[in-house]
Formats: sequence, C-alpha cells, structure tokens
Amino acid sequence: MLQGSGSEIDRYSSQLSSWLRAHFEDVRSLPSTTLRLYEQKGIVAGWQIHPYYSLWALYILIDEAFPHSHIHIAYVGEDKHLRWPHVEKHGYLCLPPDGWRPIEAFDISPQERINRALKLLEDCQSKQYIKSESEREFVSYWSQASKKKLVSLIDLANPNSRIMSGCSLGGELYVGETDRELSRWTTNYGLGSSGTKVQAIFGFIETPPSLPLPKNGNQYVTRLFDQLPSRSVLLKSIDPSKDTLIVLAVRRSEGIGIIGALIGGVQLHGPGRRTAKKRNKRQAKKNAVKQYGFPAHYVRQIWQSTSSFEALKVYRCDSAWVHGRGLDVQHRPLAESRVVAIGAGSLGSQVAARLAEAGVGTITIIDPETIAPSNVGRHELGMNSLFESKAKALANQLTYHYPHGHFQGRYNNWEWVVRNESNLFYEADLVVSCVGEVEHDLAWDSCIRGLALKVPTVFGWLGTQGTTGHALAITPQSPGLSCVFDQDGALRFPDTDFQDNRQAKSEPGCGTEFQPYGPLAVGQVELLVTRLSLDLLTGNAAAPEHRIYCCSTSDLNELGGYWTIRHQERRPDGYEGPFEYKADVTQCGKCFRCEAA
Amino acid sequence: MTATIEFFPVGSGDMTLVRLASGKTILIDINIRGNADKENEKDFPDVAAMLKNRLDRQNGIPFIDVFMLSHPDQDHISGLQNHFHLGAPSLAEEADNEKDQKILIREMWSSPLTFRRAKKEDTTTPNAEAWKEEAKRRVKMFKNKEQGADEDGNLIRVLGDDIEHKTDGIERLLVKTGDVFNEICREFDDTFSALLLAPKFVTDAEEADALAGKNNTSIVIQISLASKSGEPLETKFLTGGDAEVDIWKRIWNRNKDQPEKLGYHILQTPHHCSLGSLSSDSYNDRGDQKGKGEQCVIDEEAHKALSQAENKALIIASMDEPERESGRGLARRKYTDIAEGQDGKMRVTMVDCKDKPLKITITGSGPDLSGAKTARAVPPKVEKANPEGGYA
Repeated sequence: MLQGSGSEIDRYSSQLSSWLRAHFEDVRSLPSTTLRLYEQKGIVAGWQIHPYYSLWALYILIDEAFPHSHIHIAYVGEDKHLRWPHVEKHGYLCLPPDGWRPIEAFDISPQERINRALKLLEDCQSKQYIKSESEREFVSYWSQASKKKLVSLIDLANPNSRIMSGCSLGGELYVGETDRELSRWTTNYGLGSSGTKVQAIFGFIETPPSLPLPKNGNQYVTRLFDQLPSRSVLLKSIDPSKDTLIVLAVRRSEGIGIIGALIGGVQLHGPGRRTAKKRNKRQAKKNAVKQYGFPAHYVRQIWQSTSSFEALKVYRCDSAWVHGRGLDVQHRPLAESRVVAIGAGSLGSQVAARLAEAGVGTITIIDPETIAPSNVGRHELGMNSLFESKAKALANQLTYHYPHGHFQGRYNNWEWVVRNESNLFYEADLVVSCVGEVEHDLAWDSCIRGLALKVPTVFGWLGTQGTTGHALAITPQSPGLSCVFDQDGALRFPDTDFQDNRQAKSEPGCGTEFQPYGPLAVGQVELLVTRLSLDLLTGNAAAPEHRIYCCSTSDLNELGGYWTIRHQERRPDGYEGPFEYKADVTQCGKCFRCEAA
Repeated sequence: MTATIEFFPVGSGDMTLVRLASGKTILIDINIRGNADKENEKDFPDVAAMLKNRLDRQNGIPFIDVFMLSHPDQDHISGLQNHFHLGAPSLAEEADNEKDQKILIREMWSSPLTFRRAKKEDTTTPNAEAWKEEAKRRVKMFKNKEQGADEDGNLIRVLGDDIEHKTDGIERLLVKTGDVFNEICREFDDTFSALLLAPKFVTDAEEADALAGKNNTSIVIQISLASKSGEPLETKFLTGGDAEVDIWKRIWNRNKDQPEKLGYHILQTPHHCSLGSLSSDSYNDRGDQKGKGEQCVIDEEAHKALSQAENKALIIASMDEPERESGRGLARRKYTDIAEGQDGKMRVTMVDCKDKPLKITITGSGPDLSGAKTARAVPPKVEKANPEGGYA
C-alpha cells in the first residue's frame, strides 16, 4: 500500500509515473481491481502504458520495496499463461534480473526493463524461441500446469529405465525405488504405511517437454513417453486398467530435472452379450495376460486413445536433493555412512543433528539420560521432549525431519550397547563421543583398543565455561585421549587458566554440577566437531587430528580466565579475537596406551 | 521524471495539469462542464476521465498533489463537487465505477482574497462555496492543531494576504505576494519554484473599488520548472487566471525593475485570450458604449507585463476558436506577434488539440510542443564485477 506523499515509495512512485507519462502514450493509473490480480507479487501500484513503437500494451507495476526493487511488467491482452515462455498468470512477465536497481539508475532501469519486456514478447512470436526457452525451464512450466503433487524418492544416480514403487496416501502420490523404502518413508513422515499401491515407471529421456505442454494421453505418449528407452519391456508389467505413475527425467547442464504424470486406468471390457465363443476368446486372452502381461503396443494404444492424463508437480524428497540440491559431490559417501553418537547432551545432540542435516544416512544415538528443563536452553530438543530419553527423542525428531534417513536411539549407556549390540560399533564408519565427562571418554578410549575397533572416534568437548572447544579424532592405533589428558583428567597442555579452580556451578540444593556456558559457546564447538567428523567421513582428514577453538581474550577475561603461555605461543601476534588452530597429537609416553606400546 | 504541462480542451475556460519532474502534480483550475460528463458529446471531450487517467492512485483513489484555484469563476471551478472529494480524507473511498470516482486533493492552494474582492453583483456558485468551505475546514484544522492537520487531504497553502489580519496565526501556510516558494505537501521539491505575483492586498479603498470583481483577484503566478530532477529551474510558466488589464499594469509597475519576474517560456493567456487583459477598451458595442473595434488601445504597461517572452516561447490560449474580428481575435493576433517576435508559437486549445490535452514537454532545451516520445533503445548495460551474493 502506498504511504503518504512524504514517503520514499510515494516519492519514487511519482517520479516513475512522471517518467512514464513523458515517454509513453496513454498512460493510465491502474485501479485496485487490476492491482488485485497481482496481489501475490506484492504489487501496490501500477500504470498501463502503450509504447508507440510496439504492438503491445503493458502494465508497469511496483511492489512495496520500490525503488529498491525493479518494476514488474505484465502483458495486457489475451492470457498467454503456459503458452509463451516467461509469461505467468494475468500476463505477468518473468524477466531475468539485471545488474542495477531503479534507485541506482532511475532513468535507465525502467526503460531497460520495458525494452526487455517488449523484446520478450517479440521473441515469443517465434516457435523456435518458445521451444528452446520452455525446454530450458521445463520443470517450472510443467509444475505450473500441474495441480497434483508427487513426492519422489527416486535415486537419480541410477540412469536405467525401471519399474518403480508407487502409492497413493492421504490424497498425495508417492514414488520410490522399492515398496519397503516407500513404506518406511511414509511411516517416518507420520503418514503410516497404508497407502494404495500405484504402478509406476521411471526413466531418462533426451528432449524435455516444451510449450504448449501435452494436454492428453496421446500427446504425452508420442512427445515424451516414446523417448523412454526400454519402454516396451516396462509396459509388459503395466496393467492399463489401473492408474500408472510415470516419472521422466532429463539431464541438463545444471543437473537433472524431473516431471511426473498420472495416466488413468480404463475399464477394459464393456458390457456385451456373452456368447460361448466370446467367453472362450476372452478367457484365452486373460490367461495370456496372466502369463505374459499386456502387450506393450496394447497398453500404449489405450493410453493414447482412452486414458486420462494429468501432469504432476514432482517434489524431490530423495536424499541427494534434500542434502544439497543434487550438487553435493560428497552426498553419496555421506548418505551411506554409519555413525554412532555417544552422548546426546548439549553438544552431542547438536552434532548429531548437524550430521543428519549434512546428509549422514545412518546415526545411532546413545545416551542414558532424559531431557530436563535446564537442558532445553542449549539442546537440540525442546520442552516438547521433556522427561523423554534424549537418545530416542532425538532419533525420532531426526527421523521426522529426514524420513529417508536411518536414526535410532538407545536409552542406555555405551557400555550396555557394547555388551549387547557391539555390531553397531563394528559396522560404523565413525564414532562421535560428546559425553562431556572425561572419565567416560577415557573409558571409551580404553575400550576401543579392547574391542579392536578399526573405526576412528571423534571426541568433542568444551573447555572451562565454554571458552575453548575441542575436536579430537583418534584411531585405536594412534595416540589416544589419554595422551591429551593427564591421570587427574586435566589437559596436559591447556589453553586457559582460571584464578578460581572451581568453575563448575552447582544447582541450588542439589549436587548436580554444570559448566555455565550458553548456546553460542556450544554452537562454536558443535561446528568444530561436526566439521572434523564430516572431513573424516569424506576422506578430507585423517586421525589423529586435534582441532581447538578459542574464544576472544575479552570474553575469557570477563569470565575470570587468562591464556596460558602455551596458548599465547599459538595466538597470532596482536590478535585478540576468537580463532581455531590444530594441535599436534603425539604420544605422551606416560599413559596406558604408550606404556602398552 | 520529465516535466510536462497539459492544457485540457475545456472550451473557453481553464484546466491545466502541471507535472513536475519530481512527479508531483499541480492542477490549475477545472472546467468540467456538464456535457463533458455525458456520453457521446463529441464537442465536449470527457476531460474528467482524461484527468483521472493521468493521476496516480493511493489505495485505488486518484489523487492530485496540488489543486490551485486561480479564482472561483464557473469556467475555472466547474465540476469540483462532482469529481473531487471534499471533506476529511479518511472518508474518501474507491468508487464502484470510474465515472463516480472522486479525486483526492492532497493540498489546496487558495487565495482568500478571491472570495473577498467580489463585486456586489457577483454571485458565487455552489462549487465556489464548496471550495471555500473546504479551504476553511483545512485552515481551521491547522489553526486548532487538530490531529491529522498535516496529513495529505487536509493540507492547504494560502496564497496572498487576507483582510483584517485574518491570516495571522497561519504564517506557516501563507505565501505573500512577491514571495518565492518551493514546497509541495509540506515537502521541499527541488524541481520547481513559484513566484506569487498577485493578488495583492490593497488598503486604499478607491483602488480596492477599481479592482473589484473576481477576475481581478486571480492568482498570477510564475512557476519555474526543471526539465529533470537535478537540472536547473530554467523553464518559466506564467499563468494568471482571468486577471485583467488593471492587474497586469500594477504587476508591471511593481516588477518593472526586474522584468525577468514576468519572463516566460510558456504563457497561458489570461482570461482565455480576452482583450480585457491587454486593453481597457471594448471591441464590441456594450450597452450604450460603442465598441472601438480594431482601434482598441493596447495598454502599454499591461502589454509589457505579458510580453516578457523568452526565445521560442509558447503562448497557449485555452479557448474556442475566436472570430478574427473580435476582441479575442485581436488579442490572439497580439499574442501571436509576441510569440513570433521571439521565434515562438501561439496555440489555441480548441483549434490545435481539441480532442485531447495539448501537451508541452519540458526538455533540457526548453518547452517542446511536438509531444514526441523519448523512449530509447536498450541502454548499454553497466558492467559490474560478480558481487558476492549477500543473501541465501
């Protein structure tokens, strides 16, 4: 809504109006009824113009961000929505962004946008332009023409044409590689697994659809489906009396685009007088179909002539898309990784959540405690999980967030899991331990040698009051945690020192002690530990490695601490801000590991 | 961002829309005759629709930044009540059909003297009364410091002193004769300035009698315009309602030492090219008084006041085509001489542009009548380095 005459938008709107009237014939301010057509674009004012050098009249529209935003332009006339490229509903033109804003070059920008609009309309007179432009953004045009949604879990790394698993559930359609995968996903997502099965086909084609899009089964089959390799083989598995989901993918330079279609099933036998001869013939056909399936040409013919056709907008929910829009080259190794997370406290819960977010496919979380109100301020879980097992509640939350992943919780200590499910550790690619208690970490450090585990472990912990953070990766063969800590559980080479040794606080009237750091301190260390874990999983780092985060000197001093001489040797000269460094991991020669070696 | 002036085809009457380079609009007078509101009256173009089409809208309601009424004669104020919203702006609303849509006046420019210096036999029309009431409402809001007094739709600027110190207390709103101002809707606008030349309050009773009559209370104003934002205010537009010869004589005498104050690139001939602005004589017989025809004496001072034309000046007469042998015909010839003496042109709205407003575009090299649009080819794109995307 335009504000009063003193406002910036009103001032610039007046200037634009004046500019339009000086440059174009028959400029008219648009009434609210017309502006309402473009409400979703945030349009607040507009004018109709008729450039004298053009056949087309245009609406020049501005949104509330004007003059920090460009003018919008719509074509006035017969609605070319979905017949011309870059023309949306009510003639709204989707113009590419350019390098300046009206406020920077007020006398150039509107003219430039108008010329672009006219050029676009002129280009749209060419069939070749319509074809090439609409092919370039085929997913977008297909989606605009679709009313129904299709959720896809298809693995697009597999280029083969194949029969897929499809289902209809709660009015939505789903397609995945197998029934099991699909059912697990819908269950994890909270929909249950009671969907109606729908037959489905997937494959890559060479040429994407172009405008005008297919309107019926015949156009769809001849223009798109007939491009599908091995279609005759696939059609043998298809019953034309039932609905069929077809998902076609096209490889483009910027990635893979996919479109969906639903071909309606048709009644194959109409009413008729049944003679013995006809009955026998029909029975013979039924038997043949049972044995060999429907002939491919027969299915194709029915789809072309009788079946209904509906375009479907595909929502990619496969792991590769969710965790990187198909561009993350590390996606596959991460998706296939198995991580065991020991400890789901303030740090462990955040690290597990970030690993899942990054695309780690399988995470087992182990923690023997429940969520208390005092945890919530710096934990991944909130009050809705109060008194629940941290491990199980976190696994459930991750499962709901990423239904394609495998997340499990163990409401127990790791010692119990070692005794009862040691295979979890043997099958893992990485163990991340964020228990936050040095004696437990040292115990795990000792245990992994006993188990002869080959996988590395990343230990993550915060230093006093969260002023430092550590991510230490070791293997059973490398120097261990015991080389970093002394027998009293103190760091052999600390970065900080505090005048008062008792930094941990006690809850009132209760023996529980805690370090009083906040979510920001946890956040810094969470990144440190997650990054080292991902580097190990993707081969970008190798154990042993010790990364240390240190806060700013002023933050440390405020908390009553100061840097040790060893830290000062590490800190860049004259720099007092937060920073991260790598410490050497060497054998201390004093611990049980070194003695055993 | 290019300034324009449009003279609407309203017969012999005035209706002028000035669009400043800042985009702000100043409407000077209206003459929306009853027939112009009817369908299929081809001799009476639908000027109300033309005006609305030219205005921007706020919440669907077309608005004019400034409406200046030169004086309250019928041929300068016809259609006010039918086409303009009068009263609190909060009551303005979007009409169901365009014909009934009323225009919001963000700021009025009004002269109190125009309502005082009337002859006894002068009558005021309902439209004039409505203007007066609206002006009073706005002044009262300001005086009483009422809430919303400084909001669009309640704003007013008072041009010229009033009698008996009636403008005391509203000095913030007042522009005295001889003052230059460049505020619109309480905001400084660097694309225009205006010099108020008349009306001038006179204390001498005899002189006041001589000047009685609504025409002689007309606002005379010289508006300086920039062709574009940031450009100097080089183009002068002089307009003077229906001011007659006595007024122009006085204006000349007040300003003859600085004749540039009467300079113009565009002149709207006063009183629709009436001879009464140039001469005290009558062309045709009037009652017992014998008309002097072509022997009418052109008043030298008034003529000087109206002949400070700049090079290539345009003189516009807002009137029907006059007979050659008439007062208007004679005046037309005089103005044509003035224009052509400066290599300029004289135009008559109902002759040269009778179906649509006669439009003058203010360019860097002066006013342009051609109306040629200046849309250009795609400008060269400014090459920029690939900036870091600031937002995800």
